[in-house]
Amino acid sequence: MKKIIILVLCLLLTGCYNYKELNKIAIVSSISIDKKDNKYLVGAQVLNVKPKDDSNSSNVIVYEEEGKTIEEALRNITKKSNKKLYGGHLSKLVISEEVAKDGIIDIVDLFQRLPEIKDEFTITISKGIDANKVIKVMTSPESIPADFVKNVIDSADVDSAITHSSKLDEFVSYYLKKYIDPVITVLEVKDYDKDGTTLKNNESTYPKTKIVLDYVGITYKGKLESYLNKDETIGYNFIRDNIDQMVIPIKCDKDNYASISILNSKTKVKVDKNYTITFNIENKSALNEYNCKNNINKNKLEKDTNKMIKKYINKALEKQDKSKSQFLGLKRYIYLKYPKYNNEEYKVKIKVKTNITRTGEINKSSKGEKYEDK
Amino acid sequence: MNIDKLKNNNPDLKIRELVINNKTIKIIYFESLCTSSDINDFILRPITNNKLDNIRLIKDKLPSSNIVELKEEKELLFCLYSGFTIINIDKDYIAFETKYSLDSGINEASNEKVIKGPKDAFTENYQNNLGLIRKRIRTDKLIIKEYIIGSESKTKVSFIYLEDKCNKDFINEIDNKLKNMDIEYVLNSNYIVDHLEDNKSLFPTNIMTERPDLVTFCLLEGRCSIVVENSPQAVIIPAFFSDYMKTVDDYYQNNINVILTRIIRFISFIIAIIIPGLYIALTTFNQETLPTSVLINFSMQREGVPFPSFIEALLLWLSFEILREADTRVPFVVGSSMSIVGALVLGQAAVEAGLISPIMIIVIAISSVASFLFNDNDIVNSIRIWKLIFLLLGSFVGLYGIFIGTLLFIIRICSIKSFGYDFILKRR
Repeated sequence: MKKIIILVLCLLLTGCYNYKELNKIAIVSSISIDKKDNKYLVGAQVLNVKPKDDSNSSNVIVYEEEGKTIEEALRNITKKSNKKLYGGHLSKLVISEEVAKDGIIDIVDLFQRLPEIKDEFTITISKGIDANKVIKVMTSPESIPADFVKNVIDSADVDSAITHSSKLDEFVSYYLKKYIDPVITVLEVKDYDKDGTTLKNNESTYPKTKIVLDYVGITYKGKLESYLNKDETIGYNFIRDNIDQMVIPIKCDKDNYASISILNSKTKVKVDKNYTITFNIENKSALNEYNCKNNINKNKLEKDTNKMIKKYINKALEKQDKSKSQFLGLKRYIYLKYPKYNNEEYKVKIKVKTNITRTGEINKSSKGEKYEDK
Repeated sequence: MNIDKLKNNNPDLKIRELVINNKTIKIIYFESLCTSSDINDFILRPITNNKLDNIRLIKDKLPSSNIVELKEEKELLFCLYSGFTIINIDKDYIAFETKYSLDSGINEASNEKVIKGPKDAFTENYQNNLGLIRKRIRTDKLIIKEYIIGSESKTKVSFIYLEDKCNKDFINEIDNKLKNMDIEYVLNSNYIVDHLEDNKSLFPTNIMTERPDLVTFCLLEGRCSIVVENSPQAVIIPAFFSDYMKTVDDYYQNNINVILTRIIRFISFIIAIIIPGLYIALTTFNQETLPTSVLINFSMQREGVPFPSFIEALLLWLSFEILREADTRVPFVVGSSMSIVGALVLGQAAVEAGLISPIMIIVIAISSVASFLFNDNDIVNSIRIWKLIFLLLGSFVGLYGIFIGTLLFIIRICSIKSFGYDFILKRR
């Protein structure tokens, strides 16, 4: 009995370290970082715990504070919030363009150090607008804005390969590695005004203020260097083997297009002694749209798709030649195989093999099968 | 013979004196233990009709299946208390069985219900209980050893096993312990088990059952059973952890269905023990492990609840246990009003008053309902204590505490020995 009492008393010695009651914490879903007079202006988007049937209040609240460091600014928020900020569910970090140009890696440090924050949140840059405005935009009354944006990024990444969701752990590991630099997701806000931050923004079926994905930004030494356009982003995703699904429009006669949907793509990299990198891209695709009169010629479509993919990749390679950032990590492929490699010249070869396996539920062109023309 | 002295203290002791051929024949019996019609028909009538005045003649002529010639006073008292009628001529004593059956007959099992399968259950009648086992195993290998235990109660206890299936060392060990058992009285079968083994763990190391078919299964598996006079529960030793995950019903059903049922029982065993502690650990320490939408939902429900989660859980758990205890004690007739009060007071009203969050009710309710899958009261009680341990650890140390609790639980349950057998591994 004595033993049991001592054991139970031992529990009290823990002092409930790290104990926080659910209704005493403010769950932070996004953090924005701007610079103002040499100080950080930090915004925290906090989930507003409200009764389920209350549709008149927003489901997030944004607090803003200044500070010399980010943590100081976050602590200053306690002046305004009745609850302690809790970062365990942080899903995105928005950094304004100017701050990103000064250095993203300075900002990321805090988020790496804090134990409660997961390494999986997305780092984004707000292009042409203050970061705090991005987290103030009201998206949908049902969902949390941060989750909304995160889902947009993820689906764009997975379904159309026109962006890349840059997570904290990936960002830091690419930053630390030799011959490779991380890329970063870019957000834009269309038609920002005061109404965009209120519930009014959702009254219309076509919200005026909205958060839109741009393509990706490339970094050099942890600083934002420049942005990629759509084609370059797709090329980047092909080279880094990030493609899950995407759609490529192909010209099938003078002014009509067919669309090839890539279902499954795999990029294999080979490096030889002369520092020639060969990308073998193999993909399975489906023909999902066909607006031409002539009958479907699979071989020709496959060849055209190959050409398009090569075009995307070449654009990315051109961008790589022009910029200091090693965002494609080409030299890293060589370095991994030949660790003695030291910035010598290299060549890139691309081989693409498209395999159209399906043409959907109809086999022929509808236009070509029209009765009168036969 | 101090029969007269006995008479003073026992108003139900009857002494009938007959005088035949100038000899006084005393007929002594307990009115409360004997059937008077048996005494009339089979003792008084033959003696008076045939003018039997000799102890030899009486022994030969009286129609009785069970006759004991008495030599010592001790024996005489024992027979008297067991429902025998004693005939005394001069200094000779002879006892005839005229026992009145003081039991309720064979009933349906009330606590261990089955859907299919036999429905008979043990009763307070010792011979009936032996008969219920005997009629299921018709072989001479079934050994029943009888002991009389209890210096005051003199209760018959039988130790039953199958000769060819049971471990010899184990039998000798139990046999010795039963022979040398020194207790005053035996009121139920658990008295015997408690003296056979000093079980310090929370889990029971024997099965107490009212079902003769379960006893038969276990005997055939090579285990032993102890049947005690006046106890409607037979004891099966040794018992293992997996026994509590089974019911007799399992043997009467399609085995594929039973596999699923047993998996469900295991899961609910874990749910019953761990869920309240885990819920508190997740919501007060390790919020990052929950999906955001779930966390928002939980914190919405907790909004306005005045107590910390731990106190909230403890209150709800306590009121549930009070309700359960009350429900087992109240007579059947009042039972339904109890459950209405319980459901309304504990469920709806507590939530509406803002004392308890609805999610906490779900958590405590699911863990309590899960523990009722086990019909053995002992295992339900041990689940209850382990639930409390996990609750404490979870609310003081969080997920780390749950981890420590799990280790503790595994270490404890693996170190339990049931009569020398390993509780988990089923071997000696």
